[in-house]
Amino acid sequence: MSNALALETKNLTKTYPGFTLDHINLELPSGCIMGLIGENGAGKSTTIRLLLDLAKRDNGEIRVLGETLTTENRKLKEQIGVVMDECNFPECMKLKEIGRMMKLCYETWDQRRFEGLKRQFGLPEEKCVKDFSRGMKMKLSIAAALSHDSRLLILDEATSGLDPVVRDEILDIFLDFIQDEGHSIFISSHILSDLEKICDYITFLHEGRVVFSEEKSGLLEKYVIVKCSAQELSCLEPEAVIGVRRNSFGAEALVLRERVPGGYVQDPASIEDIMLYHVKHGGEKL
Amino acid sequence: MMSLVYKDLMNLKQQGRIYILIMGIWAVVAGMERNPAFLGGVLSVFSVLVAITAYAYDEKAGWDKYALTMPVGKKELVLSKYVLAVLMMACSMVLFLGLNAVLRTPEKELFDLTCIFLALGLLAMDVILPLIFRFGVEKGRVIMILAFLILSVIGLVGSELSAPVLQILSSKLFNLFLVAAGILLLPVSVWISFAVYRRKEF
Repeated sequence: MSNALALETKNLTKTYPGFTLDHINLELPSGCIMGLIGENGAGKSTTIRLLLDLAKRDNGEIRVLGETLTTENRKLKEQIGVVMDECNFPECMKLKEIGRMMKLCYETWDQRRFEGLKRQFGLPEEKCVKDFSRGMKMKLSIAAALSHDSRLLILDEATSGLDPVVRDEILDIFLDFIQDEGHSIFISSHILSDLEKICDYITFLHEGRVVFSEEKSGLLEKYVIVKCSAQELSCLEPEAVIGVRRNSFGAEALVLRERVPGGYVQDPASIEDIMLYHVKHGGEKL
Repeated sequence: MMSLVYKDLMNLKQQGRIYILIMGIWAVVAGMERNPAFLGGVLSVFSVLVAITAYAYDEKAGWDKYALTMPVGKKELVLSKYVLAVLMMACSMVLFLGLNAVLRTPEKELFDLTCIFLALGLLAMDVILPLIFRFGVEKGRVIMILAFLILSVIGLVGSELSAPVLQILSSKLFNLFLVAAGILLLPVSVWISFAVYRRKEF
């Protein structure tokens, strides 16, 4: 794995009325996939807009592939493939026209690769974009993002609204893309199972702040779900317990693995558990 | 830039067929009435109308947000709409001059009409496009209607003016001045549009 960073933010801050994205620090090493998770309104899309210079930051630094990305930096943008949460291609265009337009736009446009992906995804040649299903539209956006010299993919909810079969197909394509060590992916999604499958790093945003930004394997190692009685729960170190969910049999809690004494029933924690206990059940601590 | 103009032309292809049909009917009516001004009036606003329609499609698709992640700058996005409007204006002028050739319009009348409609088209573009970039198509449309109302009032007042003033207004020099103003204001209009658009966030 190369030590170079594909993406780096330092103290990235942006304030809107009623919301602040607060000192976001991210580091995505080249050759890796980072998943950005969080509830609606946590600041995921704002972070992506700031990374792409679609909104101006109030403070902080952003480095994309080692450079500062501005909307005028065409050379750098050749190397970034972007998929938004919706397909933004003009709705009356057909695939052939989109291919021609992209060829006029990107110096590194690879029409053969685009043709190949079109066939692989089964995209219809004769239909206008507006007549595409949601799945087809997202596949088109992904095909476009992969058909030029992309070294970094920035994906904002690229797999949402797709059926599991298509999602799986697309995740395979992302994993294939990442085989090249110079390639990296930054992906935001609500579908945590998808992220768990492909990500090397997980960054969790909550109310505009980074709760954690860590290697996925480390995260899964760090936490466990402890199932115990209320009395057993009270014996745990309060600082080791991230969140508690009480039920009629006792309680379930997300706890730091190394601080759980022997004899407790432990289940592995998924990324979804880690997120939910930090937010939803985090209010109730010991 | 080429890619953006190509995109607009392809995206407006279906709409364009309807425009061509309307223009064709207008041209036939103007020919039958032997009144080229009938067609000229429509053609003068046609170019800016196409640019507005293209922008409305872009807004609907969220195109600008996506385009700015491609090797396209904000300046190019702004300029492309002007290029589209000028291209449409050139096509309109070809149609207008073609009709006049068929109707054998007298030279002096043809010169005046060409100048007036060219100036009208250019000035409409100069004023309306910055408004669209600033307010978007929906709000911009309301402002456009207001602008047309004000112009109509000025026109009504103008028609009540005394004969010598009207003579000046219809003079060759004044018509040339209008065209020159339309052309000279174009870079100013582009500059304002860009200044407005540069601050836009998505």
